[in-house]
Amino acid sequence: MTLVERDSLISDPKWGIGDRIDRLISIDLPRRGRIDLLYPHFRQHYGTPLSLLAARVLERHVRQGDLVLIATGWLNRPSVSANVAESDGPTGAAAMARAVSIGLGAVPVLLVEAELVPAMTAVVHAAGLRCLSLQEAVKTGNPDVLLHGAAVLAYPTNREQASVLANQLLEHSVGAFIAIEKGGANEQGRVHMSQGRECTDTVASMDSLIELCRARSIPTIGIGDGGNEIGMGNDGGALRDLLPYGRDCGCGCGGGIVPFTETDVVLPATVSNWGGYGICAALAAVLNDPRVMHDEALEHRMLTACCAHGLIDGVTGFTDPTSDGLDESIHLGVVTLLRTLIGCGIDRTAWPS
Amino acid sequence: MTTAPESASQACAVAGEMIDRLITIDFPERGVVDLLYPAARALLGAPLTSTAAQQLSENVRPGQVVIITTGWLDRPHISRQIAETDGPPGAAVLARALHLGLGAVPVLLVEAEIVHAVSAAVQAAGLRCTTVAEAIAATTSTSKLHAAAVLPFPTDSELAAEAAREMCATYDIGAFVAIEKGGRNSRGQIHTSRGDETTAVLAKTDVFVDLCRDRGVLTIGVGDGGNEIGMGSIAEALSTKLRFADSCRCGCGAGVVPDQRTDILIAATVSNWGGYGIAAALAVLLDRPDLLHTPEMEEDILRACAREGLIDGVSGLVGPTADGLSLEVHRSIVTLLRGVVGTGVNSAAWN
Repeated sequence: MTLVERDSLISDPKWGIGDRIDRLISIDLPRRGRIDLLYPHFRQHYGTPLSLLAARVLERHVRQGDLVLIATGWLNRPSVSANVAESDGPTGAAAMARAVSIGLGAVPVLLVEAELVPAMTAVVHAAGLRCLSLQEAVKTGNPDVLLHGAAVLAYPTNREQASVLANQLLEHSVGAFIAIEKGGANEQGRVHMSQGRECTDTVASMDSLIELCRARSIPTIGIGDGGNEIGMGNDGGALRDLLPYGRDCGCGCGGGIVPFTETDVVLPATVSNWGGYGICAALAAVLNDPRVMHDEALEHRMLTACCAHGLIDGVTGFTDPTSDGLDESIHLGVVTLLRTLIGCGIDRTAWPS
Repeated sequence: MTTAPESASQACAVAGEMIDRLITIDFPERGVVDLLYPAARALLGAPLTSTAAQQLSENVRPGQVVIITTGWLDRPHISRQIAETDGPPGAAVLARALHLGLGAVPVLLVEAEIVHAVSAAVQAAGLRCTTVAEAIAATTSTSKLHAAAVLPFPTDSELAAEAAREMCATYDIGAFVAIEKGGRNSRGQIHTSRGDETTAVLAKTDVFVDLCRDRGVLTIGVGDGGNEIGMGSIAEALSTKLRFADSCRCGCGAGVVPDQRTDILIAATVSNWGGYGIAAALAVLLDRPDLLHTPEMEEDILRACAREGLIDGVSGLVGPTADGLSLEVHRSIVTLLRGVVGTGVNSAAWN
């Protein structure tokens, strides 16, 4: 499937902005050592700025009223409780939900584990969209109703049940599928944490939905920061030979942490949320509509909603308004700089031409 | 996965890659830094900011004077009193870092018209402005005093050469750093990045470059346009590529790129950020996060500049902005540089 012509991107007037967005969201502030493996690999594979590629795919394939399916959520302390999940993923998902609603008139449908529905709903509300049932949300695809709606659905961990829901979702007009910070199963059907620990039973099973989308030429996009998320299996699973635990997770399943199912586009970022923000910024640039990129006040609201509803920082283990061990000020700074990259606050006419 | 503990200089080089990347993202889409940085990088073969920090820490001993020159009187056709906010904050932040980290005595050399404004920026960065002798005395004072000197430097070439020779004879100089400071081309002319000649009003601080080289003193240039002290180091790379590199608009025929080379050249999107980047790299090298200023201090410095009448050279407005970028942008750059240094980053769980 050719989602966008590569040649058209090479002459894309937004190439430079996409390139700068990618550079900003792939600086390895936590010195985790992963992004410097992931980003250059996929940048070379696709040959274009990846935030721009994702934004162009969304722009060209999503029509007014289409559903955009956004999967996220990681229950990451299963040894303690099935209800504990992290803040990396949900705010990026909510920001993209807002962006496709404002920018493309789409109806975002967030797919998370049942335990995460209340927190995800709170974060989507913080992003400005009213959470409704799927049937209600579909009606907000009509701009005349003057309601920015979204749906947050509990997505099954059981493969058969997941497949049933996938087929039901595709009875609607679906414009795109996006997974952000969402574990993907390897060739053995096992999902892993980035450092090899197995966590299959607690992760919503997205493979059947991705396969159905790809069979129908509905574009699929993956965003991650570790190598174990949906999207990181792209390029025929080439990451398996590049990453720690790529071939052998150590859990005994016989596979590595890299997912088996591929998506059409992947965007690796230092923090998965930033990948989502990068796509929002690129979409704002592509649509020449800065409103599509959220601002610092909304970022603060989303992070506050995360901790108010019990999402933890997956690195520190606290319910602070932080993400991946990075203080709120750093996330606010990234949002400010992404907005600057799309021209907010800049008078380009003041520079000599 | 366990990795061997890295040395301070390895940590600094890793941080240098991130710092360089951050301070060279072309936010204003000016299109120049993407030309300057690769050329400067090719010259050193290593990240620019961490190389500068390492060289400074190897060359500057406690109590030595570090000369930092900045200042651009950039509306001389209207008034000699008008200068811009890009330069002084970077110089002030670097003065603070070199003083706190290496025990240097910062001596800032600027045009007479902006001594008061640059002093305000330096004091907003925490250093009390005094005479040079007082600043040197402060380094051994039993009751703490962190001081720097801001001095007027001649615009006349001969007076400048004389003043420079006298300073080199009088003080023990550890390094020379120019931030957003015009340098003379092969015909002795200084130009704006727009190709106009502006020689007469600017302090000829580039006289130090040759004097320092003769004495084995480290020289560093920081710039964002191609016309600043240090850019002579990449003159060949800029020829035919940078607008006005080969011929300016004044008719002197020698272009905007200065003639002299410095030991290290830092190219940044905004010259101030080059100064901040060196401070951040030094903070990593010395494991002293406090060497880099805070977003609050950034705001204080830019507001101090505005209160003293410095203008944003792009917008032409008096305000806490620089090069057409809002206060929030500069604060965010400082926040992310602090992230590189480790402030606000909890990465223990990744190890």
